[in-house]
This record gives sequence, structure tokens and C-alpha cells, in this order.
Amino acid sequence: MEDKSNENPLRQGMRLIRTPQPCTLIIFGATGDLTRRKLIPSLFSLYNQSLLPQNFNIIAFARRPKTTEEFRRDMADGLKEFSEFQIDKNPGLDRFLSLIHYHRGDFTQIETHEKLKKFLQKLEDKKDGQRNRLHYLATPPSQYDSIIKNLGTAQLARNENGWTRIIIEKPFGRDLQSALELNKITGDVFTEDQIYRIDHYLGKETVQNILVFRFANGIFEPIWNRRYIDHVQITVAENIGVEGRGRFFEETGILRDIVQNHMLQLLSLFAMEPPSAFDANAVRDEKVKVLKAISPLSRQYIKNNVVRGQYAAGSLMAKSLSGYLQEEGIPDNSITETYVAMKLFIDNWRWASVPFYLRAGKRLPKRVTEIAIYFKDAPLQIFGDVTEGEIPANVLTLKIQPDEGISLKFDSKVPGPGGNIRPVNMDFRYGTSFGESPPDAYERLLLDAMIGDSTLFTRSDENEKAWELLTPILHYWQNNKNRVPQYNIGSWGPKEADDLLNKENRAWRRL
Amino acid sequence: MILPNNAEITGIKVKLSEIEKKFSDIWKNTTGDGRDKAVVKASTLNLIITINDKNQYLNTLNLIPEVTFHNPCRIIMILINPELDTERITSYISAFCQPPRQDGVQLCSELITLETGNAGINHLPGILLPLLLPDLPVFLWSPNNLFLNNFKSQDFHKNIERVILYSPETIDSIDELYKMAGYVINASETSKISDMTWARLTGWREAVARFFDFQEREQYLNNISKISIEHFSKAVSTHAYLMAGWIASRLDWTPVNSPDNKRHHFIFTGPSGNQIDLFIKKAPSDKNDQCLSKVEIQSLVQNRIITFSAVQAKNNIIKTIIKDQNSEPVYNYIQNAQPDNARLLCYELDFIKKDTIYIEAVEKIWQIFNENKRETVEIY
Repeated sequence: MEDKSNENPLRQGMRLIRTPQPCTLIIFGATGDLTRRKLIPSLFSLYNQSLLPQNFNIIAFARRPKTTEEFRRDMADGLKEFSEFQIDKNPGLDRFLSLIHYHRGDFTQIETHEKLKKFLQKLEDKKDGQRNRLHYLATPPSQYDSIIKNLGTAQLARNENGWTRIIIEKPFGRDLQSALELNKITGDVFTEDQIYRIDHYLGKETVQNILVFRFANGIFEPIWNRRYIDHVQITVAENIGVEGRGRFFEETGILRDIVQNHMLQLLSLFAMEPPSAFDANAVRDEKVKVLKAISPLSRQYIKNNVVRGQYAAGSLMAKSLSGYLQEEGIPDNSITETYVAMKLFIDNWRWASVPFYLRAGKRLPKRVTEIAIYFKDAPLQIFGDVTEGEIPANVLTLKIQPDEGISLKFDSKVPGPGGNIRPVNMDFRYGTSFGESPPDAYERLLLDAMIGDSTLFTRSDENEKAWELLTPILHYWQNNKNRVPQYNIGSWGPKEADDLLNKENRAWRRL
Repeated sequence: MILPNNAEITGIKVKLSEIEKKFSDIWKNTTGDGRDKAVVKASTLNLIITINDKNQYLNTLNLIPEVTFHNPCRIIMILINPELDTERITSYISAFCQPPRQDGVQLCSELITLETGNAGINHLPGILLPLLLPDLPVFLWSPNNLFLNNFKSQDFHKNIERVILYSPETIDSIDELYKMAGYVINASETSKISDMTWARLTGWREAVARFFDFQEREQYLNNISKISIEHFSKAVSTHAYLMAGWIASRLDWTPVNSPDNKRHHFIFTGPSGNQIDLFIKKAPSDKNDQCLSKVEIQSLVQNRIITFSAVQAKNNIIKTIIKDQNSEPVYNYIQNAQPDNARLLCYELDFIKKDTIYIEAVEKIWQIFNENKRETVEIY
């Protein structure tokens, strides 16, 4: 049945957070870390806020031999570690755990999907017979193909008595070719409005606030363009290394892991034109237009404007740490990047000739994600004598994590007779303006998927455009076996990344 | 004594003219050199609370920690003591601090308490306006609707973003409800009004709205022939009438005179001229803490009757059932957890815009009674 809630006159002005219809969430690969760290704690949080529907079930589908009781115990342990709620005396815990059912099986076998179907129907029939189903692929991407095909063959991709949706975890492909293939496989079984590609960055309040900041405030939009903005720096820095996921990371690299999804999402939200409405397709249409407007990257362009790096052994916070090549599972001759920096241009009316500098890396000095907007200098420096022409640019920073907020750096007179000028910061922090901490991104995204709102999920064309942009870099690196520039653990990246900006009389923001 | 004596009022007694200076001293001492620099005074809004009852004062004080946790703010609490034969206004200040957060920051909010007798009411606007933190929204919460009677100053009204009422959930007579509707309509001309009693209906509104989220059901919405609303109230249920007013206003129904002298049966005409019968009645079971017990809507489409029922079930659940004579019933469930007053107030503080849906529902109630007038009542 098609959701026409926007046209329902009784929906006007409804302020309640919508609760989903009764449904069953089927987690494929439920014994993995994602389920224990993120999915179950988020669902428990929704449960505690009465945001889960009545008659809600979770089917944990995995290969490992386990009973439902054992799995529930594992999840209870996980909740103790990862839930924001007090677990020991929580009266709802047992009731929540009773919603979880373990189903063992091999994803590659059609028989296990047939069994899953019977199991689902039995569960649904016990509870009023509604057949609303949300499949969640929390498996390694290599298993997506067989799971999706088997869901189709077992007729678990749609049914007459309810909706069926599928959430797919990133990465959505390894390059353009594989992304196209994955979209084809998914598209053969599910329609696009059934597919929810999850990038948890979009569930973060601060990321959503980029749109509110831009389009709910009248003062920023007039200066949000090439006339006033000199350049933009987007940083996603991690202080951790590969953390035991060396083999996975070796196959992935930071470009695929962070830039293709999180960073391009941030970039497109930052740079998009105002959508005609705040609905799924209007917002995503505008985001795709940004990706389409980014100049294609030629080999020569990549050589001059894209930098990669690998962290070398060093010390961070008084702790000696191995370099990337010494991490477990990493070959000595690895060319996988743990750092990337690049300059991009968006060739449209608003952003022509404004450089967007992107950098992402592991084992950098701190964990921080932000967008820093550098404004152009005042047209004439009349305070030349006191400043010697060195007045720092105004910088507006959208801080995504960890100190979520917005900060504006501007210049001010230092009190006293000297007339010196010094930059000062004006800060807005979520923590001091809103008492409660923002919910985990997965909470919001799981709820949206159950309700059927795909605004914060990635559409196939967005994903393909992002791969189309970055695949030439992957090819260039593959064909260029030179040693990857090293950077010290705890530094802000290789020298080459600094040079990228320094040659244009700019510098990375010190964070 | 209705109000607490001075000793019971929270805070330090200060002269009105020294409130800001004293606050400034408090924050300087708390955050100055050698002190804990992580204490932060935070304000996202101004909240004025008007009360005139001792229990309410104490109850309201108990709400403040949660309200300021979710919405750090400056609260100005006005105690109007009808027994105080004075226009003198006594002021007290205090701070509410949350436990330190993980990052060591401790957020604090300011509370100013002003106590006066009825004679002092006229002075209040002139005192309140200078005490408001600039450029932050101003909310007035009037849990016993003192606002409606007492604050007639236009200067004061135009500085308030939103007035939050808490209209009685049960009213002794229909005429009282009619009068209250008149109050709200009048007040809404100068202020943005919301009502916590209305907010408590949200789960029920969601349940009813959800019936009609699908295009296939639109024809049923346009062909409603009968609505029955059952409530647990022993007298007149504000919730039941708000529910009726809401549906009628959203669907553009016009009330017409009904022959029912007991005023349990009301008649409307739909946009296409169809008749809709509305029945409001007491539920057969005893009253519990829920506002409504059932809302049932009947639609007549191509000689088929479809019934949409929302029924209060156990554990704060509203069970919804769609019965079509040609197919199996479809069930659904809506969580209808009733938040406490602190949460409800926090929820109201999240909204600034005018709640036109509420006002239109109240206007419809007023129209219903106007059309079915049995005696003259004064409209304020």
C-alpha cells in the first residue's frame, strides 16, 4: 500500500514522532559486531522511548550455532557495555530481549531462506498476521549478492499483506563497476523505494543540522557562494588505527572507507542547492546534482591534487604504536592508504573556482570531523600598521564530532591603547544549548527505515556518482606502485598534504 | 495560608532592582579564578510560570530540574497570593545546576521567584519585561490558566512567543467548556496558544490519522457517516470535545442544530453535503487514568460499511481495528505513554510556531455549541 500520509488532512500539524507499523526486523549476520555494538543498543533505546511498534520482532539470522537463549544473553551483555540506559535494574530488559529470536542458517542456501520465511510467518501469525518486514544486511558485502538473490527466490522481497524493505550497510561496492553490479542485483529483486542504503553519518544530528543551519537561517545563504567563500576544508580525522581489522582495511583503504561515503555526503549537503521540499527525493536530487557537478579527475589532476599516505610507527599520547605496515595482516609492500587529501572543484554557478579540500586519515592527533568555511578577506585592510596585513580570515566551522556545534572566528580589537587585532571565537555548542545528548545515528536511521522515510539514506544514483568520481583515483593508485608517502603517527598527515595547500598560500586548519 | 510563607520559597531574597547584579555575582563567584570553571550558565529560552496555589508551587519546583535539564533557561515564577493584601512584589533568586556531565561541564539555569497579591498583578508586565533574557524566546506556562484572567497588558503579550495552558481535563458543565473555548479563541488573537490537555491527545490523534494515511482509504475519509467518542470523565470531557473539534475542523465539517437536548448527539454537514452524526458518551467502564476509551468512525462506501476503531488497551497501548465486511479485520497498535508534566512541558517548549490545528479545533467546539445553544452564556 502506498503511503500517502502527506495528503492526509488529519496529519497536518501532527507533532508526535511517528511510530512504525508492526513489523519484523531480520538482521543478517547478527552475530557480528555491528549488531551488538550498534543495532541492539539503538533498538533498546527506541524501545525505552516507546518508539518501537507493538508486535515488533527481531530475527537474528546468522551461521553460528546458537540458541535464542544464548543469543539473548550475548545481547544482554552487549547492552551492559554499549547501551546508554541502565541495564541492571531496567524493568523493560527482559521484555525487550523476548522480542529477539535466533535463526541459524547459511545465507548462501535457498533452503535456509525458505525456513526463514516459514519462521517469519509463524511469528507473524502469532501476532495479528501483519507481514511488514525490514531486512538488515549486517554481513560482509561479499554476501550481499547471495542473500539478495535468495530473498528474491524465496519470495521474501515483497508480499501482499504488508511492506518489505531492505537496509544495506556500506560499502555499496568497491568501485564504479561493482557498485553498478550491486545496484543491478538489488534492483532486480527490490524496487528503489524498498532499498535503504545506510551511511550512519547521515543519522548524526550535526549532519542533519547542516541543512537546518543553511536553509532555516536567512543570514548564511546569501554568503554561501563563491563571492564570499575563499575555500572549504572538510576533515574526518581518527586517532585510532586499523584496530584488529587489518585485513579488511587492507582491502578497503581510507578512500573507500571514509571519502566515498561520509565525506562526499558532507560535501553534497554543504554545497547543494535548496531542495524544493524536505522530502526524500527532493533532497537527494539536489545532492546528486552536486556530485554530478564535480569536475572529473584526470590522471594529471590526480597526480597534482590527490595525496595519499600511510602512518609510520610512532607515539601518540605517550603510547608507542606500530606503523601500518607492521599491523597484523598487512603485507610489507602494501600500498593501501590510511590517509588521503585532495582538492575538488564543483563546477556550478554557486561554487565555480572555490577549492574544496578534503582530508581523512587514521592515527592523526585526535578524532575530529568538521567542515571549515574560510571566507575571503575584507576588500581593504585599513588596519595595516597594527596588523602588518596579517589579519586571519573569518572561519565558520561546522563541528560534526566530537564537540558538536558551530563556531565563528572573527577579528576583534585587543583591549588597550595599542589597537591590536586578534581573532576570537564565537561558539555554539549543542551540549550547552540543549541539555540532552543527541541520539545515536542508528536509532534515527532504524526508525526512519521502519517508518518508510528514506531522506537520510543514499539513493543508487548518488552512490554511483560518488564511485564514478573516485574510481579514477583508485585506478591511478593501482597503476602507480610507488612507495606511499609516510606520516608520523600523531601528525596531521604527510608533507605532501601540506604542500597541496601551501602552494596556494593556504594551510590546513590546526585542529 | 494558601501560598508558602517566605521561608518556603526557594532562593535568596533580593531587591527587584538588584536581581541581575546578584546573578552576576553568583556566576562570577562560581566561575571566577580559583573556582570550578566548568560551571556554565546556559539559557535557550525564558520561561514564565504563573501559579497561585501552594501545592502547585511545590509541584512546579519539582519539575524544574527536568525542565532545565532538557531546556536550560531562565525561569521567572510568579506566585500570586490572593490572600496577600498588597501590591508589593517580593523577589527571590536561585540557580538550578545539573550534575556535571562526562566532560566535566555543569550547566546551570536561573530561577527568579516573584511573589505578590492580586493587587500587584498590574505591575508585573513592567517587572517581567526587563528581566527577560534578550533575543531568546519567551514562553508563559499557566498551569491553572491564570494567564487568561490576569495578564491583559498588550505590551506583555507581544513579548511572549507562546502561552502554554493546561485546561482542565474534566469540566463541570458544557457551558463552562463553551466559555473556555471562547477564552482560548480570544487569547489566540494576541498570543500563540498551546494546551497540555491537547498535547495529551496526541496518541489518539495519531491513531485516528493513521487510518487514513493510504490513498485507498481516502474515499472512506470523504464518506464518514458516524463518529462515536467514548471517554472516562465523570462530567464533560475536554479531550472528547477536542477530538471531535479536531476531526471536524480538519475535514471541514459544518455543525448544524441537533434535536438532542442532552447534547450527546451532534450533527455536521460534510463538504459534499453528507450528514455526519457525532456521539459523545461516557465509557461503560470505570474511569482510569486515560483520557479516552474509544473513537469509532464509520464510513459508508458503495453500500459497504467500514469501521475504524481506536480502543484503549492495556499498557498504554491504543489498539486500532479496521473492519470491512468484505475482508479480515486489520489491527495496529500505537504507543500512548502519557508523559509526566515535566516531559509534557519540555515537549511544548520545543515548539515556537502557532498551533493553528489546536485553535481550529477549539473554534470548531465553539461553533458546535453556538449552533446548539440552549441558553445564553457569556463569551469572554
